[in-house]
Amino acid sequence: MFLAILLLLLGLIYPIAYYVKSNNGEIRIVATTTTSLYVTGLLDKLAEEFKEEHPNVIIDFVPVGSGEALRRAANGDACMVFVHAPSLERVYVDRGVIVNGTIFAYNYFVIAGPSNDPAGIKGFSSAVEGFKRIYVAGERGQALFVSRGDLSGTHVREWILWRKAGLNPNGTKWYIEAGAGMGKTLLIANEKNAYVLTDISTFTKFKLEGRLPNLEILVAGGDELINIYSAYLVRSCDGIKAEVAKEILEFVGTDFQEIIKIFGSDEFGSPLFNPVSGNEKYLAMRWEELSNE
Amino acid sequence: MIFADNVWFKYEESKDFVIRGISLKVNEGGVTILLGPNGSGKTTLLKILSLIIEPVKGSVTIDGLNYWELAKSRKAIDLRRKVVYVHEKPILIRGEVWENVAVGLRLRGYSRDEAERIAYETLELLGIRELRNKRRRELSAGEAQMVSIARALAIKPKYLILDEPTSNLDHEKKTTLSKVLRTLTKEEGIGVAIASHDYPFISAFTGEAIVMENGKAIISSNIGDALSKYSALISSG
Amino acid sequence: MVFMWGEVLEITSRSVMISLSATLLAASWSILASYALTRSKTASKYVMPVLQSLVGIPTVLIGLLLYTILSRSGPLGFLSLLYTPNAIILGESILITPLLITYIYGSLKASLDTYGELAYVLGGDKLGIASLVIRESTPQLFSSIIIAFSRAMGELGIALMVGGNIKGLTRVMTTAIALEVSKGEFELAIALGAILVLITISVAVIVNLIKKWWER
Repeated sequence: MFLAILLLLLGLIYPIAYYVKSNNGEIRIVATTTTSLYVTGLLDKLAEEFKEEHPNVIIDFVPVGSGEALRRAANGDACMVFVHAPSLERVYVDRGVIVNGTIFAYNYFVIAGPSNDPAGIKGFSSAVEGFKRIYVAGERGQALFVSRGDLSGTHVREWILWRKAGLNPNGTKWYIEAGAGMGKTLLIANEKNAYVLTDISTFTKFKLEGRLPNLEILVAGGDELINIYSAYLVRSCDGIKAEVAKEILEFVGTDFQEIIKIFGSDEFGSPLFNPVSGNEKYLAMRWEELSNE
Repeated sequence: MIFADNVWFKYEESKDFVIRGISLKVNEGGVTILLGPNGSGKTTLLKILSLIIEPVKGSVTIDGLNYWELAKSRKAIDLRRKVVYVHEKPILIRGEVWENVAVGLRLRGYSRDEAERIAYETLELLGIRELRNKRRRELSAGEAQMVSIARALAIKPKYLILDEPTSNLDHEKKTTLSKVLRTLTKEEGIGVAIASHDYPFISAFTGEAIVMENGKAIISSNIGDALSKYSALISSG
Repeated sequence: MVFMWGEVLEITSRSVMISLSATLLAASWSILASYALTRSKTASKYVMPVLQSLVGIPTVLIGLLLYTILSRSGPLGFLSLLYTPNAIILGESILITPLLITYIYGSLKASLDTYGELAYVLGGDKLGIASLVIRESTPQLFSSIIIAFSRAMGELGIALMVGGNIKGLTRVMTTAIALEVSKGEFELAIALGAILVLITISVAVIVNLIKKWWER
């Protein structure tokens, strides 16, 4: 019997030690976010920079999918949210779950595909037109399309484009739902020589590493492909944490913009994101439009 | 006295009785021998006498008290502690030999030092004191058997039930055991029941004996008589 | 993003401490539960099959259920356990309990026949018998601990759901591997995986040595 008690006590050492140690005057802000944004490293940089000014604040980023990020916030399990899916965000904004929305960066999705481009969309300026062509090529058995299939920001955008094109690829033989993160989805597209909608940073990274020999960027830029990143305060977050979260929002929208401007240039040759300054109105308008789609 | 009165036993899952209507006594200071081929039910009967197995029909009383009727009361444990059964194949625990011998003592609340002292004494009694710090891996089959018998003797039971105690013993150990058992029965009044094939070993004792076959007692007499009747049976059949 | 070895060390030791704590805790109640089960015919007839089937339960399912309980909007939200290593410890200990009980129950049943009967004939009361049986089952207990620890170390779903994979706080080896995979850093992920396996093997070797020593 002593054995059982001994095991119990040994097993409690670490948890108790952790508990004791964790109540020590730091302020921890939990921020849920999307994995694709998180893996760029921008958010860890944010936490680092903010800590310089506020040494007792630790931002804990929880990288999950957009849907999960917002859901956790709705459950009260986060103080902030960093996402890039306006139509999903809208739902939670309207419900009053998230407030003080702050757009802090933007970049573009791109349509990537096989170099021989069977759908003939290279250089198009309209993503919707591109999707229409891909659909036709798919039905003719000449092309494949790989989707994230995971309700991520990218996936949501993809679906808005299909809808704008008036098409529904669900259930067709050429439409593949990966149910995976951006990286894996790109690798699948590369394997199958398929078209894919992707964010520019993941594509660039993988391409530079030589993992996507069969794919290249075919359609880039344009209003429809804009990818807007926003940060929010979660309303159920209160007290000191809410105050600090507001300061973080402020910081992200001002001082941190300088860092966003150049972030990623060493690794990828060009920055991964665009800061908002000068484009606030335009971005706010685009966000409105996207959120209603 | 242990009195098994017309006991019957079968396992739950089975239809056949393995013990069929046997009555047997183990007297204080007396010796009772069980003879018979393998599978005749000797071990089962010994386990009934030792209160390990409850008979399906019939009763077992020790000094007049029926253990199975007393069930979970404190008296039941005290009653049970009067009898000790020693398995045919020794079950040794991890640790040194003296710790093995002390198991029964420790279970009864003796302190470690007291238990060690008594264990040493018992090992001495059986002439195997030199084994006291050895570990179970280091023992021969015969040594292990002596240790398990010592373990039973250490708690000074009123009744000692031995299942094939000499199967692995060399001549010297058998002699020692025989002497010790006869001394204990005469001087301490301990009642002993033994199941055995070792006829020379058995014939040194005086007391009762039964010969078992298929769960029945086909011969019941004193030891000498039972032995000769049994050997006649074997040579004729 | 550069992966630093200091960080690997931190993540590794966190994984080990979490899984070890979970294993020790689960072992403590599993021993008692297993013993109780060996003493009850009906309980073992109905309970054991259920437990056996729960051994393979998907970790993400446990993680999700535990998340809803520990969430601020859930019944135990006030404990503020979410996003802490302790939440992972809780989840993992629940995960490995069916495994431990199934294994320990089997060995106790065997021990009960020999050592249980021995303690009985030597006059042990219920507690005495239980103590001897459990003590003599220690080698099997060690073996079950190795298996349970390995299972805890390798689980992902619980750590992800209730831990949140927070850098410097709840990131463990499995969640780090998953993150690297989603980044496309497959080689790094495999390297981390190799370290994970190596550590689990080392623990197994050590515990086996302890078991050998105990059995001497």
